[in-house]
Amino acid sequence: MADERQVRLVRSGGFAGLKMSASTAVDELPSAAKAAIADAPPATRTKAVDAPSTTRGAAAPGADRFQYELTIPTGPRRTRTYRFAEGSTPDGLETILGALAEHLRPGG
Amino acid sequence: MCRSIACIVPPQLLQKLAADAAEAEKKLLLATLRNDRSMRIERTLNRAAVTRGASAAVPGSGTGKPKRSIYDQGNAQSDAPGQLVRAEGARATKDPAVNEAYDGLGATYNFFWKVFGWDSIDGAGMPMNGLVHYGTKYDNAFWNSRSMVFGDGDDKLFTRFTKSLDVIAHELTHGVTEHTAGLNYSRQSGALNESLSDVFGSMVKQYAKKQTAADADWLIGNDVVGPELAPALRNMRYPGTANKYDDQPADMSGFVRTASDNGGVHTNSGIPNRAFTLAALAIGGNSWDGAGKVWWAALRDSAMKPNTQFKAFAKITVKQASLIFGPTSTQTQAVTDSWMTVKVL
Repeated sequence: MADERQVRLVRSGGFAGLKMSASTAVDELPSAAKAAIADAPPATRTKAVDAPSTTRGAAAPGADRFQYELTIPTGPRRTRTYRFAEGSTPDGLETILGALAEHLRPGG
Repeated sequence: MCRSIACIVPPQLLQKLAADAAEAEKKLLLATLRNDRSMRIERTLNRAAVTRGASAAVPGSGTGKPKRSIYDQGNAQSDAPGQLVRAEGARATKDPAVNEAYDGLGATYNFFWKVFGWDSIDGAGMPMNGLVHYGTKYDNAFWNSRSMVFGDGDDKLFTRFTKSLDVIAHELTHGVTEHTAGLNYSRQSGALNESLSDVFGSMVKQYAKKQTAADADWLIGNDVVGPELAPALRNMRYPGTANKYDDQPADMSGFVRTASDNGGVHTNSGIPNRAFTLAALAIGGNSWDGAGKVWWAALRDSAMKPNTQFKAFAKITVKQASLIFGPTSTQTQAVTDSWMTVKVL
């Protein structure tokens, strides 16, 4: 049975400050990214879809780096959201980030 | 730096001459006195220890020679410098990104040194590292507190970032801000930080092109945007009009509250950007001789704090304009008016 649950990535910041987003069904991701979702590190809190939790990565030094907000499904009607700066991607999320990054489009 | 008789004539004598002079001569002498005063203030500021941060400058004692190193990241997305491909004084390579980064950092160094007597990023001759070919089709350029880092772009949103002098100067100015006012990169202070990078980035471009404020296009990133973002990334004179995604407000009535982008630092920067542009246009001539001089003095004013907000910065610029050009000068009036137009004051 296809996994239609959505994975969503929003990227802001950068020199442009342009908000970009990508959303796709788990089933459409490469197998490595699917596995990474299943093994994603715990967030400090998890909440329902309408009220995503916040897991912040440490702020990267400098300026004009990208900011990310990654939301993954953790169960029926439950999601987990990670917020982090480029260069501070939580361990285990790089594969998911890489899979979604090429689908980013302006808007969010 | 010594371009007027103010270098050799004491200010007390200029004051006495002005008091006794006819009206036309009085104006000239007072203008000279104001110029002299600004140069003396600049020299004093440069001698004073602007001791913010570990590598605090001993400005004014620099060599006037940049120390550039350009590294090829070979498409790796790593902040550690890759292969050194052009060191200071080395000949140009066959790679345009390498040469553009080298030349752009040189032009930016030249601007800060010749206009403000500021030696490199920290005022004390800090080496300037440029990292090119960062990542694959990487759509960004950034400052990581040690280096200026440039991607090659995906040719849709952006092309090679090193093609743009204002981008290179923008990133280097983040380093200057870090070593002077140390503005937090969040919300209003972050938007001010962003604006200062656009302001000095634009001035570096104008200085290199020998453009007056009236001649300048006041566009940011127009040399590097791809078809999706054409014709430019930001418009300092008319915020919100640079491209179809541009949502920068032109005054405080459109101030955006958001959690994205460190609190909208690239969005709300449109407000102080416009204030600077209006002041520069109203003062006329070269932007770095008028508004630029004021913004530079404000950036290094001891009243600047990491969380300085728009209004506090505006007041500091008015104070500095008054110190440099006189409280009743057209320059001070122009600076005041510009902040009022954008509804900060």
